[in-house]
Amino acid sequence: MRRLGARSPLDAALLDPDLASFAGWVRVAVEPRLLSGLEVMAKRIAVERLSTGSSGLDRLLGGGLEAGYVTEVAGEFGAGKTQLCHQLAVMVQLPKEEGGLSGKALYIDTEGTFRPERILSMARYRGLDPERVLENVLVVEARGELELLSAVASSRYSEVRLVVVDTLVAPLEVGEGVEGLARRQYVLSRLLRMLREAAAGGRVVVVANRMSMDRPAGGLALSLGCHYGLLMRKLSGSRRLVELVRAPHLPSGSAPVVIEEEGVLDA
Amino acid sequence: MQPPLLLELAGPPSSGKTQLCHQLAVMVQLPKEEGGLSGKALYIDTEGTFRPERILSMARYRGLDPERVLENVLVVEAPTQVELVEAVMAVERLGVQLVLVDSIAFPFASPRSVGEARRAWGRMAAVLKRLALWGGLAVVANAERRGRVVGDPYASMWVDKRVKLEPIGGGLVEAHLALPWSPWKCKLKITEEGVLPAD
Repeated sequence: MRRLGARSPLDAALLDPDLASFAGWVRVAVEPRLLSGLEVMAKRIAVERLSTGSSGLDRLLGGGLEAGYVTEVAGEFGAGKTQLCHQLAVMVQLPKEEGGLSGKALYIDTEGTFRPERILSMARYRGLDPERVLENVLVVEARGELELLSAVASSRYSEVRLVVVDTLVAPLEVGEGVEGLARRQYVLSRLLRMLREAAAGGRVVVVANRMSMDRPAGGLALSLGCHYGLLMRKLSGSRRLVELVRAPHLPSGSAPVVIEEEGVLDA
Repeated sequence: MQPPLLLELAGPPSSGKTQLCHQLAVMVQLPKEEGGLSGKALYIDTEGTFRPERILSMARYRGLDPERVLENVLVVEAPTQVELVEAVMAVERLGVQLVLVDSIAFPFASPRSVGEARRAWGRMAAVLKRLALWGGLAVVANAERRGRVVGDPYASMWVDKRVKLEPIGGGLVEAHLALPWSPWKCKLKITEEGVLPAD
């Protein structure tokens, strides 16, 4: 158990089921929970959606960001990821009829880019009481790896309807050599599992991601860990193009948006 | 595809692996004359990407009763290695003709160290071996990283056939048989109705 770095037999079973059952700590016999496709369909019909604030982008996403799933928003520096994240923190507070989830937002800020001023101006544009809106955005600054882990872990239990991580990869340390990179990818995949659990509790989870060598950072661990993938590209001036790059049931496509003082709007 | 067969679909993210898996879950329900096995499918969903909506639209296109089709797809979520192993162990009892694992990479893709990677690949091989010896039809989707299939060479030891999928832009995907290697390629188009030949 100690060799595995586990603190309890359950931990050990999760890390190495063969060894744990061999040692007789646990009988690993999880009866698989089978559902018929119809039962899954009933769950899918009940999925709530959060409007992004741009009708073109909502259409691309089949009605908005889905609660219960993790969505990656990738893009280079200045592509508007952070702007979209701010806007979602406002949108989630709108009532259901207006595309929101009438809930609070948790903003995990790892790069120090959260700006309450942006929330204020976006809230004003949406006709909400700016101070109330700001009160309902919980901000956690997580500049280091451990801070990020504990922030993400606690998001599973908080009463928010939206979890934003801006950005997930930045605070993770890459050690030396192959082992160092493997460790970062492991931490990344653990973080995404926690975020998936948070999402499963009926939350919208959005992960902003920067680009590294023209591809979203984080490699396979991140792209497999997210259910949906969006890619933001800079066009001229304040215009941006949002592409849907990963979605199991939606056709790929793109939607043009503009970034204004009032937020991310239809172009 | 004729059972017994363990087929692997390999390709980078969004190359249509999940779409093909959905389509196969529909195709297996067609009568034998139309290329099916008039059987049921088990969909082992590790990534959380099973979407019944896709099954419905593909079933409609094939002229099948969508609800009946959906009823005959058993779905089990298995995001971890333990759950995946359990799900595969249960395959023989379920009376299905086709097992789909989408994807085998996800539970194994991020081990914490090189040592654990080796153990993880060993466990992946055990899952594949079990599927290979099952005697029915099994299809596993597998991811690719920097052109290499995740879990190789352990993965390639057990699969009978491997089809590589490569997105070539414009909603088109190029498929070719990589194991046993063959030079023939075909172009596929991913549409609302499913994965269809490009022309």
